[in-house]
Amino acid sequence: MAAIIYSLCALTCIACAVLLLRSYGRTRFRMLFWAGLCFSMLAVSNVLNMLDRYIFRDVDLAPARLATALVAVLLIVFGLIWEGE
Amino acid sequence: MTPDPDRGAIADDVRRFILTSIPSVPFMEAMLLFKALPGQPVETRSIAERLYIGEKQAAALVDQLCEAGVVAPVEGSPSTHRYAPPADLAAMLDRAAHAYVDNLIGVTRLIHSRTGRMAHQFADAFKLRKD
Amino acid sequence: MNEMMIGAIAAASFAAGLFFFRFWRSTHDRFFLLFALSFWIEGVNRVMLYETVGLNEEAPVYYLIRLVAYGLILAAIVDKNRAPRRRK
Repeated sequence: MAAIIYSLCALTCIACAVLLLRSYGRTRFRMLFWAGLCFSMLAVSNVLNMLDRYIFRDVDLAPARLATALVAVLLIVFGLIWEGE
Repeated sequence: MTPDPDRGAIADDVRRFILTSIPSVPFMEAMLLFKALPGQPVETRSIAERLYIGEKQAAALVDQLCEAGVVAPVEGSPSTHRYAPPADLAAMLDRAAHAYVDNLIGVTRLIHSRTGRMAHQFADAFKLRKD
Repeated sequence: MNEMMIGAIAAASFAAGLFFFRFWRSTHDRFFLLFALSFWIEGVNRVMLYETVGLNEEAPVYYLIRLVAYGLILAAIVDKNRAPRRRK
């Protein structure tokens, strides 16, 4: 059940990232680049959740999971602040 | 929350165009100067004079207009450009220019609306259909 | 270190959500309200659940709330593409 939900979350993030980065490619609005990176990192974080639980059972991936999620949110906050012009 | 009284005056697609494609009021003013002389070469220096700005600033504006496809450089004359947008852009610029003339305050407020601009950029990215 | 990161994630999620909330206030487009709620729910989710169930992101309540948060994003995208030119 958790695997299904985290897969869905990862897919949602990937979809968002693709839409944002594709739009960045077309319009060159930089904020979209940072937002796209944010959702890419969130996708990685969700994938790490699944790897942590199902694949790498003996290694604790919590620091990596949290670090990617943190970087993700920092990226979008950075983009929203820095590109607000 | 009282609705903005100017909102009704500007059509939705013009509003979106202004938010996403017109970065500043000087940009709009420079565009209008070029538009007043369609096809004729205009020197960057005269833009600077007409807008009461420095030449470097005028050159930057002209660069922006060039990148946006609004003006094209004139062969052989450095710092000379002419108004030459493609047809669909020209139509939208016409409407934006009319909106600016009819509703100066509303359009100026839109141009200065950073929040509105970023919001539209973000939301537009999620539109699957390209309209 | 994990606690610090969770705290930072919560703070940054709050900030991101606030930007989207402001977008909603200025555009009246509920697309942004959904994104704001999504970020806020995820931020709060991490903090609240760390206090109760630790880092075990397997706990059902944890991933159900995350499902809600991401569901809001999906709902926002579907909603945006569904209504043709309807002013909200």
